[in-house]
Amino acid sequence: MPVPSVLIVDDNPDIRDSLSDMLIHEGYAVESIGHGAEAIRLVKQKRYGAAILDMQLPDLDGLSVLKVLTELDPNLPIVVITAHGTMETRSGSLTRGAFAYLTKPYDSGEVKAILRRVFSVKGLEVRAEHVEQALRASEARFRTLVESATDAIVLADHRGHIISWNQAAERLFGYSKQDALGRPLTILMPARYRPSYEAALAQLERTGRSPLLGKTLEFTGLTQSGRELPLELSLASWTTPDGTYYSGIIRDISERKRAEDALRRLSRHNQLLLDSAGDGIYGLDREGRTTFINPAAARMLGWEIADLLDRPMHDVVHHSHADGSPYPLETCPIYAALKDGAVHQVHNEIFWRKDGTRFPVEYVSTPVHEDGSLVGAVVVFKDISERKRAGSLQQTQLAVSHVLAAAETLEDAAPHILQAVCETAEWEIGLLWLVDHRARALRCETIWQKPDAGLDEFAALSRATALPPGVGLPGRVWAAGDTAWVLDVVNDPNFPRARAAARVGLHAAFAFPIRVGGHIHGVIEFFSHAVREPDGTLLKMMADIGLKIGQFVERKQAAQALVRAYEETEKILASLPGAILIVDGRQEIVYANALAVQYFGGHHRATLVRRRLHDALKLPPPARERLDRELAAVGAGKPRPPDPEFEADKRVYRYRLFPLVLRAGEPPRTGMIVWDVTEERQIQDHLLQAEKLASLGTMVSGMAHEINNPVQAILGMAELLLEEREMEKVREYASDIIGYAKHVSGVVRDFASYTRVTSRDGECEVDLHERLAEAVKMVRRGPHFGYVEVVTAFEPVPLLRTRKAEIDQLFINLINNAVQAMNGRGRLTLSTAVEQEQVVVRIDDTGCGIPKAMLHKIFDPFFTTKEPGKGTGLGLSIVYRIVAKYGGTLGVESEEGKGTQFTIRFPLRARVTAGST
Amino acid sequence: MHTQLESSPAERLGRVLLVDDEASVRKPITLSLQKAGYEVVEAENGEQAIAALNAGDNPLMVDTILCDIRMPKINGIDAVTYFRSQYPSVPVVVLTGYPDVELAVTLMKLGVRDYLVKPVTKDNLLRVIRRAIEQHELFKDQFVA
Repeated sequence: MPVPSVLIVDDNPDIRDSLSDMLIHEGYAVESIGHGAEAIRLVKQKRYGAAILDMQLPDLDGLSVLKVLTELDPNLPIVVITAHGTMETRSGSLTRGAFAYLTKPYDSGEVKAILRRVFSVKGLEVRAEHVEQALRASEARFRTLVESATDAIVLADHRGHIISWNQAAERLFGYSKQDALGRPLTILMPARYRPSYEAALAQLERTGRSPLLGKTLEFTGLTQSGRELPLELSLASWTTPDGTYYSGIIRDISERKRAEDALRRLSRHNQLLLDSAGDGIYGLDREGRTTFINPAAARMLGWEIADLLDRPMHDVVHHSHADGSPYPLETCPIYAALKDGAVHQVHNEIFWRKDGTRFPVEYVSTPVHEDGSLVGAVVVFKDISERKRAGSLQQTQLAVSHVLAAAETLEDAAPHILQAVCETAEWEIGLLWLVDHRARALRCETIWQKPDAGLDEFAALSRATALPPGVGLPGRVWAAGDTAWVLDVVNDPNFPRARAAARVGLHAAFAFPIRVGGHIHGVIEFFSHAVREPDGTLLKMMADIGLKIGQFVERKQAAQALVRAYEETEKILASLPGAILIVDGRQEIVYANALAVQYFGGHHRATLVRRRLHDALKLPPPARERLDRELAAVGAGKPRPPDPEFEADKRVYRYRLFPLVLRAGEPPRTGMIVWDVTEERQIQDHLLQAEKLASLGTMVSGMAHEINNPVQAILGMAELLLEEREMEKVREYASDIIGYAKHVSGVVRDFASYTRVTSRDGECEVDLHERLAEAVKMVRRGPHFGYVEVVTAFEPVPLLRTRKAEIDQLFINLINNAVQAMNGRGRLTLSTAVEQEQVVVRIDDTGCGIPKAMLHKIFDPFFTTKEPGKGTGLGLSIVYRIVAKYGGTLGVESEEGKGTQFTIRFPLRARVTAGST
Repeated sequence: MHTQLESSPAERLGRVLLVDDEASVRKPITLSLQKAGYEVVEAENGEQAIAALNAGDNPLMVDTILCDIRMPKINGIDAVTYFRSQYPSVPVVVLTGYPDVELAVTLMKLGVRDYLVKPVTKDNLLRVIRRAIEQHELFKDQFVA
C-alpha cells in the first residue's frame, strides 16, 4: 500500500510549512501549494489520498475550488479550513462535499484525528476494490483479453465511476489506470456533452433502461491533454447484487471517420459530377447496353433516364451518320473501346435525339477494367453545336476582316464579304444596298449567291428595285439605323419582293446597316431557304461587321482625301511658277518641288533633299554670306527688303525667304521661293540701257543749252563782226567770241568726262566726294534744279574701288529724284561718313516725301509716281542693283511733306562680285 | 501814242522785248536787232520782263517778245503762259537751246508765234521778228479799228 498522500492548499506559507512538517512526521506524503488554480491542476493530473483546503485563497473562491475538486475526484476527501467559520460557510462547504471542517485556530491533534478518519474510510473503499479485483482475477482470460484488447474497455459502476481501465483506454485517453479508476466517466467527454450524459444516466438509474444500451454509438471523447476525438462506443450493462455496472468498448474512429468523410464527400462529388455535369455521361456493359446514364446525357438526347437503361445505345443515338447514311456498329469508336480496351476520342460526329433531330458531338469512350478484365466502357459526350456556331461566327468575322484588309474599295470588298458571310453562317444569298442620296432610295449594288442556288430571278428583281426609307427589309434598316430580322419574308407585310422570294423559296432574312460618318451609307441583307429564329449573337456580330465596314469606308475615304490633298498640294507646289525649297535650322534642304529640282538638280535632276542650301544653289561666297544674314533675320518682323537675286549657272534667280512653322513645337524652318528671272533681267537690262540713254538724253539737252548759248553768242557776234567797220568794235566782238568759245570748250570738257566714264569698263579707286559734286553739276544743268540750295557735310572717307560710271549713275539718279521731289525749291544735303566699318552716303531733300504705303515699292522696277512719260520707273531699281552689287545696302526714310533721306552703305572693302554684269 | 511810234525809223519798225538770262546771248541779238532798226528792251528775268511791259501807260508798247525758254531761275513755259494770257495781241517768239518736239507742241498750243533753235542766224532772227511784228500790226489795226 503506497504512502497516503495529502495535498495542502493554503495561501499562508507558515501554515503550509507547519502542517507539512506535522503530517510528514505522521508518515504522510505531503504536497503544499498556495493557490486554488494550482490545486485544481494537480488534482486533475494526480490522485491524492486527502486534501486540506483553506477557504481563504488569493486567487479563487474557496467554495468554488471545493466544488471543482470534488467533481474532479469524488473520492478525494477534503478537509476545509476557515479562519472565521460561520454557520453558513460551514454548512455550505459540507453540503458541497467537504469531508470535515476545521476552524482556525486548530490544534494539530484535531487535524491528525480527522486525517486518520479520512484514510480509514479510504482504506475501506480500496479494500472493497481489491475484493472485486480478486473476483475478476479469477477470470484471467477475460482480464487478459480486456487488457490486451486493441479497443479501450472501460467499466463503470452505477454512479458512472470508472472501475476498470485497460491499456488501450490509457493509450486512448492518456489517463493512467491510477488516474482513471474511481473517476466519473464525464472526464472522458467534453463539458458540453456532460449534461445530456448525466440526464441519460439519471434516466437509466431511474428506469433501468436506456435506448443506448446494446448499441454502437458514436460520440466525441476528451483526452487528458484536452484533445477531442471521435469515438465509437458499444455500451452494455449488467446488474449484480452490488448494483448495476456498465461496460463500454471504445474505439478511436478518427481515421475511419476521416476515411468515411472522404468517401462520402467523394461519392457525393461523383454524384454531383454525374448529375450536374454539362457533359453527357453513360456507361456501357460489354454488350454495349447502357448501365447508367446521367441526367445531362438523357436531357441532351431527349430521353428519360429509365428509357435508356439497358438498351443498346448505338442503335438509339448513334445509328446514322450526319448525312443520314447508316452507321454500322463495327465502325463505331465507342464500341471499339469495348473491343480493343483503348480510349477512343471523336470530335465531329452527331448523336440523334428521340425526336429524330441531331446535334454535333465530341465524345470520349473509355474502357473500364475490373480485376484485369474489360467489363465495359464509360462514354462522355458534349453537344458542340454552340461551339461550332461560335466557331463559324468567328470564322465569319475573320473572313470579313481579311477581305477588308485586302480591299481598296467597298465595291471590291462587297462580293467577298457577302460570300464569306453566306458560306460561314449558312445563308443562301447576300445583297449590298447603297444609299442613293439624290434619289433618296436604296439601290442594290452587289449580290452574291451560292453557286446553283437558282436565285437569279430574285437577284434580278432586287437589282431593279429602289427602296425608299422604311420600305422593305433594307429600307427598314436604313430608317431605323439598326439590324433587323425577319422570320419569313414571304409572310412579311412590308416586303415588296415577297412574291419573288416565295417563288425561289427564300424565307428567313436579316439585314444590318453600314454607317459612314454618322450616316447610313448602305445596308447588307441575307436570305435563307429556311425559316430561322432570330439569332441575337449573329445579329450582334453582323452589326459589328457593319461597323467594321463603315470604318473601312471612312478610312478609305479619309485615305483617298489625304492622297488627293497630297497630290493636289504636290501639283500646286510643282506647278508654281517658282521653285520652292524648304530648309531646316542647319540649312539642309528638307523639301524641294519639281521646279527646284529642275533649276538646281542638274541634268540628272538629282534630289536636293539633305543637301546644304549653299551647295545646292551653287552660291558664290558673297551671296552665301548675304543669304546667311537673311536666313538669320527671317521672321524677325522686319519690313521685307526687295527680293534679292543671285546668279548660278549663267542664270539669274530672284528669291524670297519666309518663315515656315509646319507643326507647333517643331523647330522653325525657312521656305525659299526662287524665280528664274534671267529673261526678265535681260529685258530689264535692255530697259536699263534705254534708261541710261534717256538720262543721257536729259543730259544732252542740258548740255545743248549750255553749248548753244555761247554758240548763239559766237554766231551773233561773228555776224556783227562781218559788217563792223569800227576797229574798236571789231576787237570787242572778237574778244567776246573768244570768251564764248572758251566757255563752249569748258562745257564740252565736262560732258566729255561724263561720256568718257560711261564708256569705260574697268574699276578704279573712286572719290565719292568728287562724284557727288559732279553729279550735282550734272543735275544742275537739267531742267528741274531751280532754286535748290545744296549743302554738303563731308567727312573723310576712303576711296572705293568701283566703276565710276555706276557710282555716277547712282548719285545722279538719287540727286535727280531729290531735286524733282523739291520742285525747284528746297535744300539738298549731301553727307558722307564712316560708320561701323561702312562708308555711308546720305542724300537728304526737303521735298514732298514718299507716302508710307509706297515706301516698300519704290525699289521695284517700273514703279513710278511720276506722270506717264515722265519717268521709266527704273531709276531706283538701278540704284538698288548697283548698291547691292558692291555688297552695300540702301535704306530710305521719308515723311510726307517734310522730305526723304536715302542712306547708302558700302562695306569698306567693296569688291565686285564674280559673274556680275 | 501812235504818232510817237511813227516819230523815228526805229519806232516805225517796232519794239522788241528780249528776255534771256545770259548776257552773252542778249548782246549779239540786241545789236543785230538795233542795226536792223528795231528798238530793243532787255530783261534778264521774268520780273524785269513784266516791269518792262507795264512801263508807261501803253500796254502795247512792245510789238513782239523774244524769250529764251530755258533759264535757270525762271520757267520759260510759265513766262510764255503769262505773256500770252496778259498780252494776247503781242506775238511771242521763243528761243530754245535744244530742239524738243514735245516742248514745241506745248508752245504752239500756247499760241507762240515762232520757235527758234539756238544758234540762230541774224537773217533768220530778223525774218521771224519782222513777220511777228507784221502780224502784230494787223492785229493792232483790227484792235484799233
